[in-house]
Amino acid sequence: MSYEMVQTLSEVDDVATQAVQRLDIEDDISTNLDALYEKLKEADRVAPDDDVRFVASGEQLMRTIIYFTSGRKNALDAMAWVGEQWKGKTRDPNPMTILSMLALRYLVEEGMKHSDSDRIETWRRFRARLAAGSEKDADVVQNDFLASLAPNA
Amino acid sequence: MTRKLGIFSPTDEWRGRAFVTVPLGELAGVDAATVKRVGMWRGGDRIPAQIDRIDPEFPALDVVSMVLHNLRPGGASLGLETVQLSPVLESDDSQMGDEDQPLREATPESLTVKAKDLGVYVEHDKRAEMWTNRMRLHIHLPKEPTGYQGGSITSIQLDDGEMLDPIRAEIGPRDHDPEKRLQVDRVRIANPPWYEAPWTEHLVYKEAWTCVQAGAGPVRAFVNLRSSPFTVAHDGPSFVCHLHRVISVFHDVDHIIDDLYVTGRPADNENDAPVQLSFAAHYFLKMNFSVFPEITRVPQIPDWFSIGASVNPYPGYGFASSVPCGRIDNPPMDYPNIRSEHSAFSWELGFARTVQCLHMFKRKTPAGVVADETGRAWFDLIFKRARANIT
Repeated sequence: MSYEMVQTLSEVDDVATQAVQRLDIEDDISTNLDALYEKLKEADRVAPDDDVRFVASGEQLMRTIIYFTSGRKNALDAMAWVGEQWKGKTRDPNPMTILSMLALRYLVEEGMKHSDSDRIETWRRFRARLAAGSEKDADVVQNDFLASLAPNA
Repeated sequence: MTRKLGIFSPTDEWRGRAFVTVPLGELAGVDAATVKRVGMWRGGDRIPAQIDRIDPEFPALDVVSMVLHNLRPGGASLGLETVQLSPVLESDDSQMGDEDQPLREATPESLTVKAKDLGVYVEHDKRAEMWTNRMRLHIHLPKEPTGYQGGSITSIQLDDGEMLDPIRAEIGPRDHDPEKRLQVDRVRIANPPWYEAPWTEHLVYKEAWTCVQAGAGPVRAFVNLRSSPFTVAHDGPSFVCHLHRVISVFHDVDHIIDDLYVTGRPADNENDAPVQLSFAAHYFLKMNFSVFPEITRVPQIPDWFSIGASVNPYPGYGFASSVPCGRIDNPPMDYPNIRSEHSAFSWELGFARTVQCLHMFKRKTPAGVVADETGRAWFDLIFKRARANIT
C-alpha cells in the first residue's frame, strides 16, 4: 500500500481531528504553524535517516503543546476519551502518548493544507516520515494503536 | 576611618558570596542623613557596597547593602575583620573613584538609575523596568487597562526568555498569555480579639500602585512600590495604610528578592509619622507550568515551596519566605478563567511586620531539582542568611 492511499483511510484523520478538538488546541496549532514547522524541520535535520527518532521528536513537541496550551479540564477529558476509545485495543495505553501522536498527525495534515508551494514538499516528507516512523515504532513497542497510524494498518 | 566588620555566617559551609545589609543608622560617626556613598575595603579588596534609601518616609529602613565574598563557616566571626570605611558626603563627592558610581537621569516623566550590568527605569505611575545581566522585569503600575494588574510584575525574563509563559517563549514571541503576572493581590490586617472576624482583607490589585523610591548600585537595583491607600478602622482610631513592595534584583542570579511591609498613618492626622503594621500578604502567580504542575512542599518547613513541570521546556518557580506559607491554591477559589486555570496559583503568608520573600525562576530544570534549589536558597539566603555589622 503506497502512502498516498492512506489519504483514503480518513478514519485516522477524523480521530486526530476529534482529539485536537477535544483538547481545544486547534487555534494554537494554526497560530503557531510556522514555529511548529521550524521545530519539525529541526528534528528532520537532526535525524535524517532515523524515522523513529523523528517521530519521537514530533511526539514530544506535540506533548509540550498539549501540556501547555490545552487546559486542565480539556486534557483530562481527552485522556478519558482515549481510555474509552482504545480500551482493550492496546496493551498498555498511555493516553498522552496517543493524544500526542494524533496531534502530530493533525499538525502534519494542517501543514499540508495550509502551506505554500515552497513548504509543501517538506510537509510531504514529514508525513512520509511520520508514517514510516510510526510503523517502525509500532514494531518496537508492539503498540497496536501506533500501528494503526502506519500506512499498512 | 578604620572599623571592625562583624560577619555572622551561621552555616557549616563556606559561602562564595553573600548579600548583606547593615542599617545605616548603625554606622557610628557617619551622618546618616547626608552620606551618599561608602567605600569599604577588606584585606585590600574593595567591597561592593551602596547606600539604599528604601523609603523617604522611613529613614530607619535606610541600609548599607554589600556583597561579601568567601565567608568562612562556623557561625560568628565578630570583629575579626578590619574594614576601611570611607563615607562620601553630599558636599564631598570627589574622594572616591567612579567605578561604582551609578548613573542617575531624572526627567519630569521618568527616572533611570544605572550601574554596571543592572539598573532600574521608572516611568511615573505607569511602569518600572529592572534589569541585570541575567534578568529583566517589567512592572505594571496602573490599574488600567485590565483592572487587575495593579502593581504586578507582568514580565520576567531570564537569560532573554520569558518565564511567565515559557511555552510561548519556546515556540515564538507572539500571543503571550495577557494575564501572566506575579503580584501581591491582597493583604490582611488582624482585627482586635473581640471582633468576630479574625482579620479584614484589603484588595490591592484593583487599584493603581506608585513608585516611591528607586535605586541602583554595584550590589543591587531596587524599586519601592506602594499600593493605593486602604483604611484600617477599628473601634478607636482608623489608619490610612499602604502596602509596600521593595523588589530587588542582583548580578548573576536567577532570583529576585521581595521585601514587604505595611505603613499606616492616623486618618485624622496625616502629618504624624507613619507606623508599621503587622499584616499577612497574599500572592497571586499566573505562570504556565503545563496542565499538571508539580508542586513540592516539605510539611515540616512551610516557608518554601516550588512548582515545576514534567515536560519540555521544564519551567520552574521557587518561593521562599521569612514567614510560613499557607495553602497553595491551583486555581484560586475565585479565579474565573477555566481555560487557563492550571496556570493560576495563589498562596497566603503568615502575619509579620516585615516579610522577605525570594522568587526563583528556572528553565530546562526538572521539578525535583527546582525543589532542591529552592530549599537551598531558603536555607542560605533567608533562614541562615549571612549577617554583618560594623562597629
